[in-house]
Amino acid sequence: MRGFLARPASPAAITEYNVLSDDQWHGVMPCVCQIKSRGLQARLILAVTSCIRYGKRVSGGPGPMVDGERMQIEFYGRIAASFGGAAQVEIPEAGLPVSGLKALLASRFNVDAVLHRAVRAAVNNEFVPESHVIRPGDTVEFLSPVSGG
Amino acid sequence: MTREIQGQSVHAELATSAIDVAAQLEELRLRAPGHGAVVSFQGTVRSLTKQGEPLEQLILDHHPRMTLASLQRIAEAGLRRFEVSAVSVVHRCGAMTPGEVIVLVGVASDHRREAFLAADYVMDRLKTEAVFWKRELGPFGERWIEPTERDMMDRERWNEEDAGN
Repeated sequence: MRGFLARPASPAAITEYNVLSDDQWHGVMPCVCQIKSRGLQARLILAVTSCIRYGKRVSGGPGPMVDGERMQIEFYGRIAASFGGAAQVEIPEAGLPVSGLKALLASRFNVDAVLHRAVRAAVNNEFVPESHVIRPGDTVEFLSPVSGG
Repeated sequence: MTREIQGQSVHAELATSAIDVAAQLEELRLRAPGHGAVVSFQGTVRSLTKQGEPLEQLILDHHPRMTLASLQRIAEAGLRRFEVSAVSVVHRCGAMTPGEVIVLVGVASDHRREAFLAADYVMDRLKTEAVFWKRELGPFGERWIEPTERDMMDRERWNEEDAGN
């Protein structure tokens, strides 16, 4: 998905960015974004307040991460090695969809493999879709595709 | 964990050390007394990898809660789908060496045909859906294993929706 900053961070002409994470979310979420400015590219997390489909405007702009609750996330299967088995992140009080959490983890720990759809989230021991909203207090785990028995 | 469903019983177990096959089958037979057939299948660790290299160890990582739940769900599905009296699924986790038993499936029923079918069905589902992550160790180092095309085709033979996995 491609988005535009409604309020550019500075007059330094950051005019567009690509939101690399999922695009089905409306609300506050951190997105991994690729910023283009004067031919330079950078990757960072932006707090996006409304996220819509390709080619449309994304309101909000770069800002600090929302304060929230610290959450311990565990990983199983192949993906576990990239995180040493577990990781801690801050979850906004309003919650965060699985896709947003994946983007946050990918950016924070520099592990793009977690963005893959085959890496599935389990919340409170049940598999959930990418759009499922994780709330503070949930037990969240990411599982690589199972090998079977 | 053994559960009764309408007079039939399901036993699912995650074993951290060698499976006592004889004791498990005896227990299955006693759980379904008076039935005419007990069918069992043992899966064992191969000595060669798919690439033909010698295998030193097979390691099955598991999830502290979801793995046993998946074994239980698959065993119950076998019991529901076929006219059988008891199903046992005992699955290893951890490190194993070639020749060791990874999985034991046992089915007791009035007639052998249903017992064979149920065991076959339970194995096909275990091979693709059981919550395990497999690695093989050998002179090549370490390698992750995923279900094969053939495992997937075997699973599809039963013409069922994926059961929530």
